[in-house]
Amino acid sequence: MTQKLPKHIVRLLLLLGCFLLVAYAAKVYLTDPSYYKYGYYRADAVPELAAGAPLYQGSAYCLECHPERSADWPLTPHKAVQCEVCHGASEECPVKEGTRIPADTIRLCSNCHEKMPARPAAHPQIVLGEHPFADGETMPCIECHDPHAPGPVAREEVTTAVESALAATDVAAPPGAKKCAKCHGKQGEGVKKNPALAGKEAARFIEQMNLYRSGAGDSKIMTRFAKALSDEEIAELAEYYQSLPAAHPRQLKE
Amino acid sequence: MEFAPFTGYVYPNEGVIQWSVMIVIYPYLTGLVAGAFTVSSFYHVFGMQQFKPVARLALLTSLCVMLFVPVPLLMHLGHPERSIYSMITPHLTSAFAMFGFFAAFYMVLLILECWFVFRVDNVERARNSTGLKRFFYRAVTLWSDDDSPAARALDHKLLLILAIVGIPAAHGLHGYIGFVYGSLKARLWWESDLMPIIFLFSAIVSGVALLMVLYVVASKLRRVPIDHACLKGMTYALWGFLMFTLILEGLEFANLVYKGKEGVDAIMEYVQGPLFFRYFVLQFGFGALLPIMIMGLLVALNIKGRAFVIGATICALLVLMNVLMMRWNVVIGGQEIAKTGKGLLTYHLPFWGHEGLVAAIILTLAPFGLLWVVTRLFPPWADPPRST
Amino acid sequence: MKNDRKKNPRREFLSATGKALAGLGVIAGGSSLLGAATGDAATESFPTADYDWTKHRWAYGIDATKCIGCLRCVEACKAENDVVRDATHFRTWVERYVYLEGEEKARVDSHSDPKNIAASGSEATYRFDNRYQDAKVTKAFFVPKICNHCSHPACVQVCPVGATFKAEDGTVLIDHDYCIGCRYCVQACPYGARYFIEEEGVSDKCTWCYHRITKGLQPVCVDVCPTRARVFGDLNDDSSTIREFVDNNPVQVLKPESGNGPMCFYIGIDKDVS
Repeated sequence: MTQKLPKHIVRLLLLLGCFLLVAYAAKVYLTDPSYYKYGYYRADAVPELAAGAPLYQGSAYCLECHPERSADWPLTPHKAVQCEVCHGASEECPVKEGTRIPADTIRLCSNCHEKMPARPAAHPQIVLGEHPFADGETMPCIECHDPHAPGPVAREEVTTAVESALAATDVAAPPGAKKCAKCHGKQGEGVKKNPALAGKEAARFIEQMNLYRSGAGDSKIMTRFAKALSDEEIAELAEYYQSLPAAHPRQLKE
Repeated sequence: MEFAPFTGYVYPNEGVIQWSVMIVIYPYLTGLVAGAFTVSSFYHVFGMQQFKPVARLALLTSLCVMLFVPVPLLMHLGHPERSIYSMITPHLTSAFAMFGFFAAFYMVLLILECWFVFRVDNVERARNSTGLKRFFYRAVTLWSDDDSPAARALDHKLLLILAIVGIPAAHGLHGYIGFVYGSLKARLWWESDLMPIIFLFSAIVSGVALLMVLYVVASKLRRVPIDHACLKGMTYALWGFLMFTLILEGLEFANLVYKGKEGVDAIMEYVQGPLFFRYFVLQFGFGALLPIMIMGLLVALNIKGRAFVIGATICALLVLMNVLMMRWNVVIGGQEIAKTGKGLLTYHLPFWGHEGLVAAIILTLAPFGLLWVVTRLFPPWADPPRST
Repeated sequence: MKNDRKKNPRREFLSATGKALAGLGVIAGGSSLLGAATGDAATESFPTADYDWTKHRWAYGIDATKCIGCLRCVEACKAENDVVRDATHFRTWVERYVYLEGEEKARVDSHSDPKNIAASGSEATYRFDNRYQDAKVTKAFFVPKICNHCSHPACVQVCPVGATFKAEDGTVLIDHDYCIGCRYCVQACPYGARYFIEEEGVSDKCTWCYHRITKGLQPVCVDVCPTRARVFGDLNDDSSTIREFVDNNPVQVLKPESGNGPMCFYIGIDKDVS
């Protein structure tokens, strides 16, 4: 029958046939066996995507080696701030001690706490340039704020009764005391880790301030304050604080 | 990584304009393919005798450009070696997946059609040559020297079938691109039911214009007289299709502005600003209105001879520019309008690189280099050249 | 007789070609269908032994009233998923909307804004600048954005090879070994959630940290958010946070008119959020 067709047509058809066969063979050979299993995609891709180790381990993982943090961090407003947010993903922990402490805390903390119009009003925010002691934005936030137990520093914990009682002090507060009060409390009662000054012996007070002034003290902020004060001002403050009653809600730390 | 400069607000991920000049060249080339095929079918299907001088040239043009059509895509893909997956495991809801099949089918069809059109001539050439040349023509004719009346009659019948099937094939090859843009919800500039039709008629227009230019240039190079009936026929075709295309493009834009859906503000800012020159002056003005007027004058004033040839050629060149601008304004323009509806970006065309200006120019001109070679191997001319 | 001989070649040709093509067509089509039909009833858990994707229906929630724009989510996501560290490749990002006094339209900015890049110091770290601190602002808020893992994803529809697909648990995933890098999906997403990784030549986007959620963890952006603005969970689980989120709040989605059916639900976004 085919000899009725001109030979070039036959050869053309054969060529076409070969081409189609090759195309079909390519399809069969090159199709991934897991394709079409669940749809128009390579089913093997799904387990591949599900594999892979997570980088961020979660705070529970950090607390395994740092159990001391369970005492403060989960009980404070920062409990929603995961350890790894500030300290980096813990996949490579344990690391050399100290390498995970954030260096620039101003930058880190202001990331969340810089006052910005779009931030919800209920969220604690500060204007960097106006924040006490953040002068020129060089004072690390952690000098006054504990990142694992955050809160404002000068908290009014004094009851009205105590307040009125203490108001009857003989010695009037020198002008410089306002500054001290911000960290050490209105009545020098001390706040959190900032020690109480009320009732402190004047001589010890002056000694400590001189230590700071020399730069050998253990606090950068106190060094700065001490250097800013003259001998007379320090003496005045020492007198004042000595006169304040030590029997106050906070114990005298010394 | 350098990203596109922008005004207003754009999504951060929009900073890189993904579809570059290669994706402008690609529909331009397939448009020329579809358009050239349409010109050839004026003669081969519709029997319009005035197009005989360009019919075979049109086929060869379609073939030469078609061979380069996958290149801009391959240069654009992140993994060109995996492009075969779109034919091995095509995802049937994707218009892009259809490209492989349309292109393969049309390529085979076009090769077959060219083969049949030139078969008898090739048989003769095989007979009249020796050595390597003879081997070449023998191979091309599949070692058959059958040019009997029966074989020729069969050739004609098959040619007709191929040409008829070729029209939807060629138009599918180019029309699906219009669908790619028109069906995309994400960009208001693209989303339109008219897109496939616009692309198609724009393509026909570009094909006719190209053949006009090629015919005039080839005739000049071969030092033969231009068949004025043929050129006039093409000019009429260009005129008619161009008017219709202009109406379609105008309608689409008018629709967009009139409906004024969300995001139209950014479009209006874009069209009145960065796009103004490219769109109204180049595409619509110089590219469409001007050639329509010129051709109108050519026809109304019954201009003939050299003046006609010059006028028609100028119109054809303007139209080729129009179609390129249309592709550019759609592809790049769409991406310069951010999906946010609130911003605009600016595409920077690199000079070098696989998606740069130089690559685009080479890619657009290369098919004509191939065409020059092919017309030497398979001369499509209806008349012999004055000087051999 | 002569007429018969004339007719025969044509008929023979047509019937021969027709039979050949039909035969091949049947084989090719049949094998495709066969391939599709053998979605064999897998009795074992897929994709992993501990995680059966048919048991979950994941969804995501964002409370824009809680977001403080700290961008810990953006940084964590980039670290966890090894996303390109620059300002044009984000799996998740945050937008800031600010209405100034006297203006009816919000001013919007995000991480590709040059001023924000300057504030963070590089394209690899992220921070919002404080350009509005002295301005008269009537209303302002942050809106975190992420891939919406839509129910009818346009990106899946347009992928020519099926490299991106919707998994049975609702996650829209990308097969990086199959993607040809055409970027059609990047164009198709109305939300700008997808991007192209130039170095790898493939498209990419948020995967809801698939490598985490298949192990009982949450996406890292949800974990690190310090104000719990982001919520993720299983809609099938009545006790999940997302169930509570969707059931007890008037929630919205972005661009509902697109028909994509996003599975990321928002509280507290307003008219200009797109």
